[in-house]
Amino acid sequence: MRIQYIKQVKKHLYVSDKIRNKIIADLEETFDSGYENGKSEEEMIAQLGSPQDFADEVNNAEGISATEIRTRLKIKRLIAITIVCLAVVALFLLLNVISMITGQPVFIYESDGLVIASAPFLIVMISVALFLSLLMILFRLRRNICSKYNDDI
Amino acid sequence: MDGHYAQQFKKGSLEMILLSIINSQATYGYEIITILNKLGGEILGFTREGTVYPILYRMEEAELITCSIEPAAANGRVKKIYSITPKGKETLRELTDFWNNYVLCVNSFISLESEVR
Repeated sequence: MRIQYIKQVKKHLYVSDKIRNKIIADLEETFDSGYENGKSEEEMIAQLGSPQDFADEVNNAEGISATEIRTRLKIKRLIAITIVCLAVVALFLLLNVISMITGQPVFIYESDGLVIASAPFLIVMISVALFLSLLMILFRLRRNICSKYNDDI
Repeated sequence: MDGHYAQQFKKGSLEMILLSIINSQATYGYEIITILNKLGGEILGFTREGTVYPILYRMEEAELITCSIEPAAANGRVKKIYSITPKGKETLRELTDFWNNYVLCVNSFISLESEVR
């Protein structure tokens, strides 16, 4: 419950990394202090307010307005869409290049109407999937190391 | 009274209030908020952690308060203990002087009505 709460707060914070890390460390400390004073996680969450409210208070105190948050969300969404579009185009180009080099088509059309992916296509897809998985693992590791570091200080 | 007025007053005085609490004793986040709401909750309204933490960071940055790390009783984690610095004491004195003059000044305006009568 506490982990979920902190995760949600992180999602709604639009402050610098420095402030974000401090807030998360202090939130952990607040839950611990509440526990020391006989308060359950539920009671502490009721006191802190919803994750969105908590994050909004911090954002406001840091001078980040609701309009600015909306703009940043829009930019984030736009960047995500652009990346997906570029990735699709890049994959298409890559498949064509491989198809040209190997002389094999991207898809093989079977006589019974089945369409199966050719070996180069599969290799590219598996490589892309592996690369993305690796990126995600690295990203997760980095975040864990960062939060561990914040716990230590 | 419209909550908006109370918010404005609170906004202007919260830093001084927090500095006063830390001046009275070296303390940690949870205790600061408990004292703040116990003494001031009725007038200022309930103050939450999300409002207080950023002010504490700003005061620490401005070297008005300092923070030391102590092990927490609950588990292997740590607790941040805030205490006031000489600069903080000086600032609190200035703020208190200003506040007292401010109250006198505002009161003099309020009493204008009875004088006119």
